[in-house]
Amino acid sequence: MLKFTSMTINNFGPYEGEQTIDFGDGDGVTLIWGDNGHGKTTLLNLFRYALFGRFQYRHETVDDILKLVNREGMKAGKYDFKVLLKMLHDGKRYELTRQYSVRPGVSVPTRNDDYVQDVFLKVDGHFPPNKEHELAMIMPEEVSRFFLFDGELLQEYEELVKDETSVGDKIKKSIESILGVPILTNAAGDTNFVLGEYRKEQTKAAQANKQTEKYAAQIESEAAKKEEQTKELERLQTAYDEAQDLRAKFEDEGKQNEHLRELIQNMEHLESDIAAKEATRDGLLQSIVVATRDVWRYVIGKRTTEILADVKSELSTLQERHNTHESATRLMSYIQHIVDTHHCECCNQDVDEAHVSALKKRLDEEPGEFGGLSVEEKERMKHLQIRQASLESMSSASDTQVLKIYEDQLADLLVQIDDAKGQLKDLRDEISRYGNVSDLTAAAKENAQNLAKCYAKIENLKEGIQATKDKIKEADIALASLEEKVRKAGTSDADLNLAVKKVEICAALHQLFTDGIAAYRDKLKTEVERDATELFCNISSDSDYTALKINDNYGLSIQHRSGEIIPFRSAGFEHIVALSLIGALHKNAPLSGPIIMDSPFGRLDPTHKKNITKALPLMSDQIILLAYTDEIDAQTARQVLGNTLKKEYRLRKYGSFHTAIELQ
Amino acid sequence: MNDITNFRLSKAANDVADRLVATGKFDHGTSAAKFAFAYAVKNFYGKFDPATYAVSDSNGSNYSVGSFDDLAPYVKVLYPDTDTPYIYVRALIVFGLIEIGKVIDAGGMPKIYLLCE
Amino acid sequence: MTNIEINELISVLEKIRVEQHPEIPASLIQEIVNAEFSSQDDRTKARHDTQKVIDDFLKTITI
Repeated sequence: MLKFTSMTINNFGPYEGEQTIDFGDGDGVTLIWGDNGHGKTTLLNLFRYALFGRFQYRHETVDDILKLVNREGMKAGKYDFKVLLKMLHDGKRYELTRQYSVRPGVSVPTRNDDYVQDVFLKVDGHFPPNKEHELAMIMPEEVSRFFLFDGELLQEYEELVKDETSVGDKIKKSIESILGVPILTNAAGDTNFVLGEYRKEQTKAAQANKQTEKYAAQIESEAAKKEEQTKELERLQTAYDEAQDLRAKFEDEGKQNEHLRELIQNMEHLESDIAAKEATRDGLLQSIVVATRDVWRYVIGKRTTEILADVKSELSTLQERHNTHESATRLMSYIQHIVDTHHCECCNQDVDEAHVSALKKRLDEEPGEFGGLSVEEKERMKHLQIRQASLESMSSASDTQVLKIYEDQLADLLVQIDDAKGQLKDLRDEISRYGNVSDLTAAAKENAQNLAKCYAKIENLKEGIQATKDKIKEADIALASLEEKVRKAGTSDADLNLAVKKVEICAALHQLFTDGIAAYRDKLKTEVERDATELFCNISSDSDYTALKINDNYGLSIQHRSGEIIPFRSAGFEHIVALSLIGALHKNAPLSGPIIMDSPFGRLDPTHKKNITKALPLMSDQIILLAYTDEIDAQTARQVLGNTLKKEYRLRKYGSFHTAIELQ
Repeated sequence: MNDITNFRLSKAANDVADRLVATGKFDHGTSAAKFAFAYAVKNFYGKFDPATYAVSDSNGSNYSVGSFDDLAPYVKVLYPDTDTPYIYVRALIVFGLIEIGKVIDAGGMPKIYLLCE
Repeated sequence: MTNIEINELISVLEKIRVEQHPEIPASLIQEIVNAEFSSQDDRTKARHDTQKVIDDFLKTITI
């Protein structure tokens, strides 16, 4: 089994400088925690890059090498980057280095041509003569989907349950590949080829014999027919594979067109939404401008009201004194009149001398609190009266209530506009990745036409393949009958007998491998179904789901206790079924290796997350799990994994372009 | 002492006026300046003396005092002793803008109504 | 590459061989499978090696 023992990254993606993750030699699970944008997916892609030399981001291969260099390193003038993957396979130590170095003579690289890519592979300290072959033997790219995968892509496995979808066909091919079926199909093809060669020899021997001469000519003719049909079959099969690839491409394009159409529709909605909001914003701003044009009066009013209150209070004191004095003066004038006339007008009686004397005395006393205002005070009062009038004329009827309402609405609206613009930018970025989108309708129409042509071609090819196979079968029957005649007629010819014997052995070999394919497929299906069921039952929390049933595409359906197949399963269960299938494939594949999963728990509830975590060590001897914080509860993970948890790392972000891999 | 017929704001005060106008909530620098005048009166009347305030420079926009005619009666009421109301107007505008600038620097651009209370 | 990893596959072939083609030696099947297994990435080499294995075996055949 293949195991990864360590990976050293140098100046790559978000990983500044040289950083190593050590996975150790033993079996178990390595957990790598990292939040979104901290470089988890890059790490998964780095394994892929190291093994296959391709760097993939989401669904696309990154072609621009400069995008792969760490930005901080770039700033410091470091443009080279590399990955060193150390592996263990069948007791041998593999060291695989893939690096990009700036071409001599180039100081600052600006394009791909400024780089040179080198690949070094050491096996037990030696450089093997054919490193590509060595790598293909330990990890062929066509089966990498079962070793390195993003949780999001697990839903693709649903295609296996459906009939004849291009994605399903592709996965089926990969499944058969990891299970070793091509070894048998290739052996069947090659033994058939060898059989043909020995038939030629047999024909020669038959031609040399008088009794079999006539059959030899017929054999030659039938063999030629068969060879022709075999070539035709190969041609048709190649054409069929190509047509299937084309169909997958068109279907993918169709999906992308559909997706793109949705994106464009969303973008247009968002644009009109933003435009409507901006119009509201402008309206609010206009109202606010009207309000702020006069709001200063209100603000000053806050102060002038206070001043006015002070003025009024002072004025009122002076006024009161003034009024008291006025009343006192009127009273004094009346008393003076009594003194002068010895008569009181009020009661219409004369006043005697004694009383007049008393009143005279009173008139001579100090005025006291009834005295009048001083000249200054009178001036002050006049001044205050003018000020009061001015201040009162300045009082503002407006307040800030309306301004408050408008500004609060505006603040909310600005946040909404900002958010919508952020979404719009993301959408535009995504759309721009599709290139020119000016004539989507035409593109969709063309795609539909291409797809229809492709479907028709596939059907024709299928029929052609079947017809050719029938013809080959006919030729085989004719050849067998002729060979039988040769055998009977040429019993005394040793050379001919030997040639016949060799053909018989070759035919038996070919038959054995042909039968082996079907038998091996049946065996695999039984075993994959059994192992997937076992894993599924370990993970599933629904005790009514008792088994998984496999179809010819290796698609798995859930079987209810009652024996019924569950027609619609939840996204979470689709996920569990896909993981169960991958685990079962690892158990049954001649090629086994580590499983590296990126965020595989997304859609699952805590119970299933826990169950999957527990089942991880059953899926493969080495598991490297990339998870975001809280994707699974760290304590629970540690508890259920127990001593199968080898190491924990955390991807810690120290800057936009600097993530450190830290051992926990 | 002769009063002024037009005046320039200081550079710093002018920058604050520009920032207020940039919010779209004031139609012109004069509206922002009047608001700053009111802000200064509301919060600093009695604590701030426009008679002795020295405006740091004259590198801001130029305004005719006619734009601020409606402020003069307030100056006359608030500072009855002055015979140069427009010098006071300028001082209060500049001071008010600088103070609002401090609020913006400390906590970002506030809502205008919050500056009114 | 080890044979242990393809034992399952060989056991299926072996069952058919014993039942239907006992005249073919088990080692021949194993050698063909090994040739195909170790050159999965190179069809030409796989065919060449398979042919050689069969040729070598057929050279030993006598009447």
